[in-house]
Amino acid sequence: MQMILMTVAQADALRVESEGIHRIDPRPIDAGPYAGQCAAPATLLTDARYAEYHDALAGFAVVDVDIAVAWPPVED
Amino acid sequence: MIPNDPAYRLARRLRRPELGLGLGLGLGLGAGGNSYDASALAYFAAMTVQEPDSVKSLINSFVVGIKADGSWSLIDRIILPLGTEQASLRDLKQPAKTAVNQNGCTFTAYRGFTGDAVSKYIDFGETIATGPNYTQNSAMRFAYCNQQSATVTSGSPHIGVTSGTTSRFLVSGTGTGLARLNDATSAGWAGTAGRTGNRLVSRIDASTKRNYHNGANTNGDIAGASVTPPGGNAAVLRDTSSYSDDRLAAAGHGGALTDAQAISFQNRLHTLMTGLGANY
Repeated sequence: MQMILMTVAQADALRVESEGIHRIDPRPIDAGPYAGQCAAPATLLTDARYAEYHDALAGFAVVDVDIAVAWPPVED
Repeated sequence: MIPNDPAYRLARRLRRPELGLGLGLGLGLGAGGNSYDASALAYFAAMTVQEPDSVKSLINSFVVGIKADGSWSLIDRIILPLGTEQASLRDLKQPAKTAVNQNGCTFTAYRGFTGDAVSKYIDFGETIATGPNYTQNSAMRFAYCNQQSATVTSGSPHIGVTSGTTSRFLVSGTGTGLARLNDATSAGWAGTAGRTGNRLVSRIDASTKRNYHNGANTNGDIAGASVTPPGGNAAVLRDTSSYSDDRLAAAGHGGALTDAQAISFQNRLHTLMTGLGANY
């Protein structure tokens, strides 16, 4: 899945800056090559509801994240 | 026919049955001159774009109905699928509050929100225990699903919290699913297989909860010792680290409903969903 990749600090900033009924909550990546970073769906880049964040999001890399690798199933 | 004519008054009451029940129940006039319950009016006033009168009448009937059942005062939050995203995230019970679309759930007018099973969800913006009615030993959550995805086959979190594992519905496409409500004891909805439908769980005391599906108590009394409600925000289409790509039309929570209230609530909700075209 195509996702916007960012650091934890950048993700924290996005969570704080996004407000209103459309917000961004990047998901921490648990495992795999991007473990320790955070990702948000690349669909946000073309989602008109998130237009005010497009400029900010455009500065991040978009990568192909293997969902099964990044977030292996957790048993509890 | 004139307004003072008894035949006229009777005909008007037959067209608008809530008028006959509304005296003393806080009715008010909408902008179009229709009479609505005061709580429904407050909800309508919080909408940026007004719904058509036909939709307002459906919502009004739902509100009046669950008030008559004694359920309204036990509810904390409810979101419904309306014509705009703003209205669909606005809270029916507490219109000053709004849920939040996190990461761009797909919105379909009069149908609801669809997740992506990876990161998209709806956030109620406050912990489940904010209540005031949802407490450790008196709690209720519900979720109305009208579209089941093909990609997630089991454990689809229709409702949950952003952090915690003790208040959630993990709904299976092939089995009965797993539900917790302030406990660590998972119990599904007996006799169910698909994920669509209206699921509700009510915790009636420190050791007992009940599961409902489409207006029926599926398991009788389920034993499960209660624990402190989780601290994460109440969420739809997410539970901590799992996400759903089903479509949910309505969801909410509050204090425990009796057996009769839970069944009536689901039936009234299904009537509303059917009127909106959002039914399963």
